[in-house]
Amino acid sequence: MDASLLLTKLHIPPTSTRLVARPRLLARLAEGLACPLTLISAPAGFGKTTLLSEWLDSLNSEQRTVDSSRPTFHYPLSTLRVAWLSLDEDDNDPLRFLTYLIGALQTLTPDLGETTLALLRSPQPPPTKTLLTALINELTALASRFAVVLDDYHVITAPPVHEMLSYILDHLPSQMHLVMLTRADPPLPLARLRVRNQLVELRANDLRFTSEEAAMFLSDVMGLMLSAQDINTLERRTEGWIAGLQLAALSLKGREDIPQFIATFGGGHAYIVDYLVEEVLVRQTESVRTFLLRTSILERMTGPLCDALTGRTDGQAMLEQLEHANLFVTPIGGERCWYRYHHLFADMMRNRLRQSSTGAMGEMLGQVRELHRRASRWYEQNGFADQAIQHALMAQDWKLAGSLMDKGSQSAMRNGEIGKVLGWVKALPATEVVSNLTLCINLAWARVLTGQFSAAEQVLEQVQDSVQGDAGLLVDWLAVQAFIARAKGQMRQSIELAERALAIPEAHNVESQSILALSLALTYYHSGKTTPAALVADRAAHLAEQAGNWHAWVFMTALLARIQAAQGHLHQAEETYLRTIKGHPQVREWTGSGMSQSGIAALHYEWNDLEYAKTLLEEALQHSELTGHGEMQMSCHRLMARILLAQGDVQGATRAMACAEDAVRKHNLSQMMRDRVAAEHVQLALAQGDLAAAAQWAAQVQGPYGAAFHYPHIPLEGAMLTRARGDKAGAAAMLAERYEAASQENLEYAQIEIRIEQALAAEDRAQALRLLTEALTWSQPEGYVRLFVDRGQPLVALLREAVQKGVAPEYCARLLAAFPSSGVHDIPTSVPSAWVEPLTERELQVLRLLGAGKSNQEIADDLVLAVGTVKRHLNNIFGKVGAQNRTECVARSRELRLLDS
Amino acid sequence: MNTSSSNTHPEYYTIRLGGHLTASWADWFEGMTISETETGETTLSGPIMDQAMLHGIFAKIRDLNLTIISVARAEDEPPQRDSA
Repeated sequence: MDASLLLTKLHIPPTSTRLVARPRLLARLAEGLACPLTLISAPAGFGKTTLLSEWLDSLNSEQRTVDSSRPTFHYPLSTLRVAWLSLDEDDNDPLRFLTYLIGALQTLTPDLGETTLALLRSPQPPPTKTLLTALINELTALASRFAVVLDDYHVITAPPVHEMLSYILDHLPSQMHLVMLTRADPPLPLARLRVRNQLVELRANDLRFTSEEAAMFLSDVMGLMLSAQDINTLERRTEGWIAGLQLAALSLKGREDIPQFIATFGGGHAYIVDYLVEEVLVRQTESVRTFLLRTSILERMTGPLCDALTGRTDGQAMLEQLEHANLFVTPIGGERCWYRYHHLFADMMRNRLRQSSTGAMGEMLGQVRELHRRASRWYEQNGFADQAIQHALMAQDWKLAGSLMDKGSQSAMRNGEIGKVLGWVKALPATEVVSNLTLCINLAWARVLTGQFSAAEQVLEQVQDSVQGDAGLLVDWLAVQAFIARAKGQMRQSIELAERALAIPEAHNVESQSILALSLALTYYHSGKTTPAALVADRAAHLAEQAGNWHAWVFMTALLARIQAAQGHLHQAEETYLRTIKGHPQVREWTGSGMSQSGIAALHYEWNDLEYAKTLLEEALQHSELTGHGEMQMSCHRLMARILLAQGDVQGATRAMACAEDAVRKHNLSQMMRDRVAAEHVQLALAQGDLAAAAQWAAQVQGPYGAAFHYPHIPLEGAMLTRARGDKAGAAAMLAERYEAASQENLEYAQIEIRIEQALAAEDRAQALRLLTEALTWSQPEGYVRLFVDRGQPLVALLREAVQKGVAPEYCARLLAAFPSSGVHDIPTSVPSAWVEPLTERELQVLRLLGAGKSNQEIADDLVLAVGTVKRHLNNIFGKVGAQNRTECVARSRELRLLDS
Repeated sequence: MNTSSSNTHPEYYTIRLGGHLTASWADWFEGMTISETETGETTLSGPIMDQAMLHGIFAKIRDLNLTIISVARAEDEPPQRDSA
């Protein structure tokens, strides 16, 4: 939204000097400050806004500074600061609502909510609760009391916004007070607030003028000399309704036949507003009447805009004149630039306007349409795209509306205003939609992003031929198709479409190509095609830089770094990661990247800089909690577990794994993510020599997974367990196969790891040494440490031998020094092989009954077995799970997720 | 209660309002019939497509500061009345 229009939403309405003092109401408002919420709920014309601005004025009675360049008053003596937000229908979009709420809060403290705003603007904003929590935390840190006023809340009908308000009310900081002005009670838990005395309400009956107030209004404020009886009649007839009295007073001003008017008015049944407005209008000049009629179609008015509708040049002068005469016009900006009509009055005028063009049905709205068309044109010429479209639609000029939407759809999508684009299209006839290609493409995107794949494909099909002639549009068209193909799992087709689009020369559509390249890089990466993934990621980063899409740039550069690490270029990877952390010279603010920080942490873990790795990881964790990124949280906790175990902190490692599992559960992550956690459990169990647990965890990993599963590692649990069972030959075979797979994609990191494992699984000493030597020579330049140390004690002897034989003596010495002396890392070499198996179906049945607390006899009865058989099963179970007795068995089984906790 | 989203025929509603609206407002209320009662009240009646339309009418009534006295749904289309 244009900056000047935004200011009108944040502007605190000015008070008039001619007011009736209403001390009793002001006192109630003051009382309300002790509660979270003040609700002023009454129909139009009860003076809600007037009362509130009068109150705000009274809070600072002396030495008020009015800074006309900012839409707020400063209260040097009062301790209450106030932010104002006038709502309109567009604020039903929750992200937009939050943006403007923050805008209002920034009138109190300029930088408030910047983090939340940055998150809002990111490509995938975190869930609303996360955003609100971040914002509320900042509000809680504010030193002084403040109030937020939401005006016209009744325009909000979207449940997500109501839910946000509900959440805010539930977590309202103690310094904050909320005031809501509305014509209809909001669907918030008001009853609950009332019961707890957390709500102060002013309703129609409170806001009506009392007899005294009515009398004061008519005589002191409107300057009418009326008898007590007349005043009484007017008051009775309007029932103290302020707008009614105002209209009546305006009708009476300068009139000679006052008694007659009052008699007619007092005795009639006619709809008051209609009657009175008619009376007021009749007494205006033709010039004024025409002005009022024509401009009534506008939500907001400014001089030049009015001129466009009237064809005159006195727009600004007229507005000021009307304001001065108190004729229903209110300024809504500090500099007397923008105005609006009082709602009731505007409705009256609009109704009249509809009727004024009499004639056959077809011509009925002709004049009105023309006015809307003119308004649309003015708005467009002055850069107000949204308003231009609204008026084009009201003019029912579909061609005009279509072409405006076409122009506006690109920036709307860029700002994430998906709902807006979908709404536009709904209002436009189908034939008009199809002839606006950019709109169609953006519509397809909007539908894709809201999961409506077939509807998206439908519109793409309709424009398939038309886009061929425009390279830029063609790129976009292919991009959406590629996205849909990937979402449907049609990987090959997705890649093909993407490559086609990327082959089109860059000049045409750098933005879309950058998104396309990003999508393609991810497709390759998830298919395990590392080398093409790296190439495309690099290109994607370059395109993103050209398009100024910084989120994409960070993402792709971090992805590139990850692949570099997987391909064994550790130092290069760190440099690449650091580029994203330092930021780009063209970008002012930088929110950093959790992916990069955790990536660097992983590198430093490998280099055995454990403390440094921990520090970085903690930062990455903080970042991921803020963005609500579940997968990142899980990855961080996993790595943390490894670091802690390496430092000998077994309990800490266990806790970290519990956090990883929490993240999986809370964010409802995919099976693949669950399996990553299980695979980590296997590694940790093996490192602690707990073979039984390792076996149980390994059995839970579904799969199989390719190389992309465990970047930069590759799944080796199967081979490791086989070796632990004593089957070296079997392990060697599995490792050879894994080595093949890794070398196909140049995954050097994994290749080195496999060589080390192969050394441990070698048939004889000589072969073992040969393999280890190869690994050492390979890994020395990049300084790998933990790949060796995490293998545990069995490697120590081999390393010592390598030193003796003169293989990289300094490097080996460094590695040997890194091994812990306590022998935490130990894979026992003699364990009954039968125990390194998953539980059988029968054993699981027995285990479940054991977990339910049944005795051996009860289990035997339930499963129709002999007690001896049950005992035999239990013995096996204890061994497989690594327990000595029933209690331990149940506990261990719960840990290993064999039983529900 | 009819909760189906595709109404093959509209429902007929009669809304009683306090005060007297002239027939010129019929257009504003999407073609509903406006008639006056002897007691100085107004009746808005006519076919309503769906609940959303009904709520739209309520919002308009609210914004014009009219008082709702009653809302009733008829089983069949009422016999045609003259508008006042």
